Amino acid sequence: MSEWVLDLKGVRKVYRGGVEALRGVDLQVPRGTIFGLLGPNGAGKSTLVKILTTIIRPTACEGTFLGEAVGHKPTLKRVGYLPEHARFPEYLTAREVVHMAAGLSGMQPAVTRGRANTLLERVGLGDWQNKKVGGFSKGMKQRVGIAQALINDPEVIFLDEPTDGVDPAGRRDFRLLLEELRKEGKTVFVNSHLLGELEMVCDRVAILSKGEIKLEGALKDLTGRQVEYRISCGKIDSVFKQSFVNDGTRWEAGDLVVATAAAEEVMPLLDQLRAGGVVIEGLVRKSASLEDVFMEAVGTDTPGAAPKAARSPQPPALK
Amino acid sequence: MRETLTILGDSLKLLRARKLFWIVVGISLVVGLLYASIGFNEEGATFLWFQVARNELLVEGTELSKMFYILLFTNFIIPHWLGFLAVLLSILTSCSVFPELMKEGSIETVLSKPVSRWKIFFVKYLGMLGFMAAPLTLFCLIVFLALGLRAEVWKWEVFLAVPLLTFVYSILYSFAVFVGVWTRSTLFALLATMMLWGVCFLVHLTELGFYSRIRNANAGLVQEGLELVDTGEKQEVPEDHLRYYNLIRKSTWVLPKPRKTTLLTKRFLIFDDELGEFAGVSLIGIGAQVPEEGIMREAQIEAEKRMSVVEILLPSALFQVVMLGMGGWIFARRDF
Repeated sequence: MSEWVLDLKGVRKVYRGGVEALRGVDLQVPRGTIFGLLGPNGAGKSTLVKILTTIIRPTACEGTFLGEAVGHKPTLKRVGYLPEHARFPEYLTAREVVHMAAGLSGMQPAVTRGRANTLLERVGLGDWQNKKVGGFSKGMKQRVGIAQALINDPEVIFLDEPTDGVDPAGRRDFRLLLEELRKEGKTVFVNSHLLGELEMVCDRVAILSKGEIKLEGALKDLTGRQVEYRISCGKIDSVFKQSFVNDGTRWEAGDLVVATAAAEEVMPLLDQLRAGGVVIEGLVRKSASLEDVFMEAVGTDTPGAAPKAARSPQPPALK
Repeated sequence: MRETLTILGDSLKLLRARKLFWIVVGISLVVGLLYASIGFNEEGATFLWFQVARNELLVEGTELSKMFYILLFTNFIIPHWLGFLAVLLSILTSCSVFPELMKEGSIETVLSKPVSRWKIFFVKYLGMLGFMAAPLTLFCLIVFLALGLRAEVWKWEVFLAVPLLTFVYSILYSFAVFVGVWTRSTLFALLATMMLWGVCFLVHLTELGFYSRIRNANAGLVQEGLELVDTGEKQEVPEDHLRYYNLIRKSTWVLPKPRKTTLLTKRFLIFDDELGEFAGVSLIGIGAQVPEEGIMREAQIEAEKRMSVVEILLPSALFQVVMLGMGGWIFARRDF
């Protein structure tokens, strides 16, 4: 069995009208990881997932998904998917939605019954399973969506904006569920704009922008590239203060910031400060957040990063 | 197989959830029971406990009263209720199914499953035929029992109306599905289907009009009021009438024939040897106690049988195959 669930080369998608959604994506994803797929709107995240789930046909695509060519329908028996803005027939109950997903995956009713119960309990809909989804809130529908995505005990699960419309408690439940799935050895792809949430659960991330992967790797490596130590100092003489400024250090809001991941490089500075009679009020190790990594990778590609003047023109002054 | 059963099961749940479906079932029940309430005694026709017609042609046990009962089903209920209103209500109910299935958020959950798109498309389509077949079966069962118990005519052929009228619905629904899949718009699909139905009906009427005129002229008959009068010599048919008739006749090879298929039920239900001397008699004729004269009946029979069963069903079936082929192709190829 290959160590990669996904091994893609040169995935391209050009829509009718010439819009190039993906411009040659190469991606390898190991088994058993929680993989975050990030990117601004229109970056091609959903297109990539839809290609893998045969909803969209690629213009060009080499490589394998679960050991088979992309587009191989029987492979989807081993895949679960929660689409963005998932809608389910309003005349069905939560249980029926899950049973329908199981039936379409070719599962036998006897197997489905027990698993559907467990899953609906797991997503917190145990008491609601016989109610029609037409009366459900957005968050509850998302929970149904997660349950139907997991009913066939998939090896790979795609979750597109899974916490969209979900309350904070639901988001916490979702994180716990992802932890459980990781322990079960599942590979989970999560598309989300909530970077803080992804940071808490993902092992690896890929950042897409304008149809290309800008950055990909283990989350701890990506965020670990920008580690710094912040030393909060008490009263300090300005001339003495200036003597600390060099390539790797700077002063920021009264803190001495040391751009390094090695703690031993900070020790001499602490000694110097203490020798100069400066009171050390605090020492914090800080690494870059996923948002920092994202913004660095995407740069001006994201609409949110457009110059402020262009984003929000000021109204003319009243005379 | 499991996938097929799942899609069909979903169609059944969808049927149960649509109010219009229950309205069709309800009306079918009412119409069926009204039909069953018609009876005959020694004076004529009865309705429930009331004598509604004192008509010597409709006296209990006569062949003509039995025929009247069958004709009421074939000539009135089938073309008006089953062949028109029930089909219309079923189309109204089911027209939105494919455009709704193709909405963002819905289609992804279905297409991401290990089922081919062609299978999803066809099984969904077949499942939707239940909109027509289910109330129709119920209705035919009532009619079958009513005919047997009221007129002592046990005709299994009554149930032929189920596949035939489901076929009529399927012709129109295949077009609605094609337009719905193509445009993703329920409204567009509905309007286009109504338009097609209207065009087919107009072509049917025009073709029948030209046919009758030409046939009567060739047989030396002249229409005087409601009567046909035999002049004894062949009448001349204008050249352009023949040309138009040939043109319309050719167009019927391309167009489906929902109306003619609806009327086909009568041909399968009533056999000429059963009718004997009353072959070609009309419902109005019996009701008015003046069954038509021989030439009128002959003209009626010839008009009813002017097209063979193959001529009626084959173009409709081909039309349906083409519509489903195009709809399925779009559904299978489209990026969602």
